[in-house]
Parts: sequence; structure tokens; C-alpha cells
Amino acid sequence: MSEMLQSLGLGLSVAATPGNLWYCFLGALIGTLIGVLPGLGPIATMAMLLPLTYYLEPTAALIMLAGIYYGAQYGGSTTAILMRVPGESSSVVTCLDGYEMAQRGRAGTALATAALASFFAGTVTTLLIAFFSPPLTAVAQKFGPAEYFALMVLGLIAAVVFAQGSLLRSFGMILLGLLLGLVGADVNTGLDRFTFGYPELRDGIGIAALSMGVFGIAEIVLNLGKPQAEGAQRQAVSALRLTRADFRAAWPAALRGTGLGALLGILPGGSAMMGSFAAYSIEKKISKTPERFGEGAIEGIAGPEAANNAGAQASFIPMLALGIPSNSVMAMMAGAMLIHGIAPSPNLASAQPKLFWGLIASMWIGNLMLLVINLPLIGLWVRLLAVPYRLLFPAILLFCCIGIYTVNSSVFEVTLLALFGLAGVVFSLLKCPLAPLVLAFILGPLMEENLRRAMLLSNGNAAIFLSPISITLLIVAVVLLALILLPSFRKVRAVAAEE
Amino acid sequence: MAAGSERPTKTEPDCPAVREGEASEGMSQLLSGILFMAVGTFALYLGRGYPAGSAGDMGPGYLPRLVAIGLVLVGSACALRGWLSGERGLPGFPLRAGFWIGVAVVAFALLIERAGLFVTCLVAVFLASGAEMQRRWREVPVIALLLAGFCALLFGYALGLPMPVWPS
Repeated sequence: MSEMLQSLGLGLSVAATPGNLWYCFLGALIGTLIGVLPGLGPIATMAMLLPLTYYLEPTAALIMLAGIYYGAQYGGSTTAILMRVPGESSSVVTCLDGYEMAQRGRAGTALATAALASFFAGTVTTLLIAFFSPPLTAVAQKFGPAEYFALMVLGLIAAVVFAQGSLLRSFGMILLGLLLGLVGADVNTGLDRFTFGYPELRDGIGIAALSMGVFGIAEIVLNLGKPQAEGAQRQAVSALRLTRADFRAAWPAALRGTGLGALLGILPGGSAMMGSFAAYSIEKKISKTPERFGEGAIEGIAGPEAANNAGAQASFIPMLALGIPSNSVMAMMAGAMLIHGIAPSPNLASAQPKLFWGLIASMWIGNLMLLVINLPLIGLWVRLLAVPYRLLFPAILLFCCIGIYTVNSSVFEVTLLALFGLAGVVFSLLKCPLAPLVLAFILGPLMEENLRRAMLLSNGNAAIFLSPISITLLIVAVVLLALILLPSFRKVRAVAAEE
Repeated sequence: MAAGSERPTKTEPDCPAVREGEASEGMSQLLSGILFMAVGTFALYLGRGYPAGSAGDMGPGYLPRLVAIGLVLVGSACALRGWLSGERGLPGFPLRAGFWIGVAVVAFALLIERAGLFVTCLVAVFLASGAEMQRRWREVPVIALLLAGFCALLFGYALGLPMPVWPS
């Protein structure tokens, strides 16, 4: 316990240097901004800024990128409440009761609830990360290549099982992602694979080009392809105040939401969105007056808002402790670390304690900043929504192009961006989920390396995967797959995807 | 038919926005299945010469071949299910937006090293505005100038990224 406090102290001392505070603030601010703006998600933004962070010190770069992610969870709720426009997919449920409250003249209460619940969840989850990372790291250090391979298989399976949409297509996207990840010179023999003779592809396809293409450029095309939405009705902001009764109703919901969100966030393939949906249905189920939900129930805001923020932060645990990104946002974080020459691994905490604990501590500071940024600036955020998309998209497009060019000063990568943008549009139209693609793309080379090493160690005997840890991981993966075949789980999954 | 010419039937006021031009479920399945099969087959063809090695000593072709075969199998299952569903609603591809945004990105790639950041940004914004359905041509030069100036100042001078700002 005291060790944890000591480490957190070290983290705070790193995170509280003026430079890091500034990047934390900047990240949280940009995150809120893109959370407010519909049509621009955290992944595309992180991809856009990834090349720029090249010029920062690694700790500052990661602090800023993390800020963008959890900042977006905050920002998304503001527009959900005031205009019934979810800025982020994870704030879709906040629309239900938040907008209803706003319509009844309680917008201020709803906003304050959302902000306080998020802050509470962020604080608790920061402590959870600090508490759970060291023991997990200790376990992971016993991992050999077979265990790593099994863990990554579990991650990919979980990403399929918990993702929305068609199973077969999710599987297809995973295999496609693995294949894309294998492009480039083979590590062991130096043989060029799938490079079409382009020397630029020998180092593999850039994570920035892939993710910016399928998330950033494709999103622009899809947004422009659909008819422009009319300006939504905006509700006036009342006083940002909670009555005692509001508070009593909201805090248990926020507590439950935090627990649920953190739990779902740790799971590989878990995401902030899943947590918020689950929290909403649980609040509704255990409420004595479920008929109030959808009519402005404060629990319907506190629970999901706490859950999405807790989930966003908890998903850092597998990446920081095990070195395995569990969703596409974490894949971007891993990409950022790789750009700086830091390989995500369980050794991160011992090799780079300042970076590790600084990042964790910065999350708490960032959450505090968000509370300060968000509440007084709500008027400004709302006005930003009035910026029409036709002014916004050229800027997004330029930032993407400039960003991608900067990575390697390579014209080739800009062309790849156009290609993946097109692919992203096609996949979205065919409802093929993109998150498994990016996750598998990141994990692909790691999986190949560990599989080859494991099989080499065992002389081609697959029994090496029967070690206690790896067989447990593989069994969990099989159980997850079996779950999908259960009709009741299928129903829950379909409902979650539809809501 | 260009999707850009499709008129909105109705705007969905509810939260989860329904995207225009979506294919029917069965057709998406069929098409994505065909896509997976095609990519898998292509990968098998490209990688036909990569030595596979053995399970105990995997060559560079081992995993790619495994994954590509998996992709073909999953793709066939997907396509079969889509075919059996009998639904044949085609998705509307946003042709116009896709075309102009793509052209803008490629133009950026072609110009950046020759024409410099400022001119490249101008051209890219002009091309990209072709993607809009309701263009306001009078606005475009203003937006283009402002954005190009902003990018040149921020990325060229303030951040000093390694790229020419002016034509060389």
C-alpha cells in the first residue's frame, strides 16, 4: 500500500511539472472539443496528433494523447444533454435522460451530474490502475512467448465477442487486420512480404496511415455523403446545481457505474461505450421506479457517465501492465509509444517508472482539469456546435494530410491514407467493424513473433500451449466463443447493438 | 447511380443516427464475404513463393498462409449466409464525396514537396469542396486562404515541421 502511494507520489511529481501540466491540459481541452463536435472521434484525433507528438518528450506525448481520450468522454455528454446529439458513441445513452432533463429546465443539473459522476469515476479508476497494475505486471513477467500468444488470442476473441455487429464480419476483419500487420520485411529472414516492390512498405504499413484513413478520412466522406442534419434544438443551461435529493439519487448510481465501467474496461475488447450501455440497463432494472427512465431520471445520467469514464481509463490497465492494447484507442497509444522507441511490455513500470506513474497520475490531474474546463465553458462548447461541417471538414482533411506526411516525410504514406480512407468507407457501408481490424493490425506482428518463438522452443510441439497460464487464457477464449452461441447472450448482444 | 444525388427520405430525430445508403443486412454479408475471399485469395497468390517452413521452424510464409486461408473460409461462410438470405438491397456509395476527398488527398501527396505547404493546402481545400452537396463557392476561397495561412503559420513556422512552406 505504502509502495503504491510512493509510486503515485513519484507520478504526481512527474505529472505536475509545468510542461506536463500544459500537455495534460491541452489534451483534455482538445479531447473535450472533439467530444463536443460530432463526426470527429478520439481515434481520428489521436491519429492526427500522433505525428506531432513525435516532437514531444515521450511522457508529455502520452499524457496528451491520454487526455484526448478521456476528455472526449466528458465532451460528448455536453452535447448529448443540451442538443440530443451524442458527440461520442459512449454518450448515446446520456441522450435519453439528459436531454429529457434539459427539456424540463434542468439542463444545469444534468450537466453537473454528468461532470461530477465522470470526475468521481476518473478518480476511483486512477487509483484502481495504480493498485492493479503492479500485481498484473508481476504475473506478466512470468509470461513466455506461448503465454503471450494465448493472451493476444484471448484479446482478439474478446474483441469479436464484445463488439457490436456481425460475428463473421468481425472475424473477417480480424484476419484482414492480421494480414495487413504482416506486410513488410520478415523479422527473421528479411524476406519482403506483400510489399508490391515498394521499399516504403518494408517497415510495414504505418499505424497512423491505417487508422487515420479508416477512421478520419472515411468519416469525412461518410459525413459529406449523407444529407446535412438541420441545426438541432438547443436547450438553455440552467444553474449548475444539484439539490440534496438529486445528490442522494445520483451517487449510488455513479458508484455502480464506476465499478461496472472499470470492470468492462479492463476486459480486452471492452470499451467505454459498452460500460455506459450496461450501466444504463442496470440502473433501470434495479430502480424502484423504472418508468422514470427516459423521462429525465438522474440515475440514468450518473450511472452511464461514470461508467464510460471509468471504462475509458480502465482500458489503460492491460496496455500499461501487460503491454497488450485492448481496443483501438489503446492501439493508438501503443503506436505512439512505438514511435518514441518504447515497446509496450510488462517491463514498462520497472524500466520507465517516471513515464508509467506520470501517465497514471496525469489522468487524475486531467480529470480535475476537465471539471474546471467543462463546467464554466459550457456556453463556449455549445456555440462551437454552430460551426457548420462544411467549414470543419477541410481543416480536418488538411490536418490528416499534414500529420501523415510528417511521420516519415513520406509522400507514399499520404497516398496510403487515401487508399485506407476508401477502404474505410467501403467497410462502414458493409457494416464491417473497424475496431477489430486496427487491433489485429497492431497485434499481428507481435503474435507472429511470439508464436514462432514458442514453437521454436518446443520443437514444433503444440503442447507448449498447455502451460497453466496459457491454457487458462485459451480456455477463457473458448468459453467466450461458446457464450456467443448461447441464445440468451446473443439476445443481450443484439439489444446492446441496437439501443 | 451516384449516392450524392440521393435525396433524404426523412431525417431521423432520434439519437443513434441512421446512416443513409446502407445495404440490406444480407447484401452487406454477401459483399463483405466476397471481399474477404478476394483479399485472402490474392494474399495466397502473392505469398505463393514465401517459404512456409515447418511448425517447429516457421518460415515467413507460415502465418500469412494460415491467415489468408482463414480469411477465405470466413469470407465464404459470410458470402454464403448473405446469398441464402435472399436480400438484395445495394448500398449507396457516396461517390462524389469519396472521389473529391480522395483526389484532394492524392493532390496533397503530389504537391507537398514541390509546391510547398501553402499552395498545397489551397489546392487541397478547393478540390475537397467539390465533395460538398450544397457548395457555397463564394466561401471556398476565403476558407482556403484562411486555412492555408493558418497551416503555414502553425506547422511551417511555429512548429517548424520539416516541409517546405513555399514553392521551391
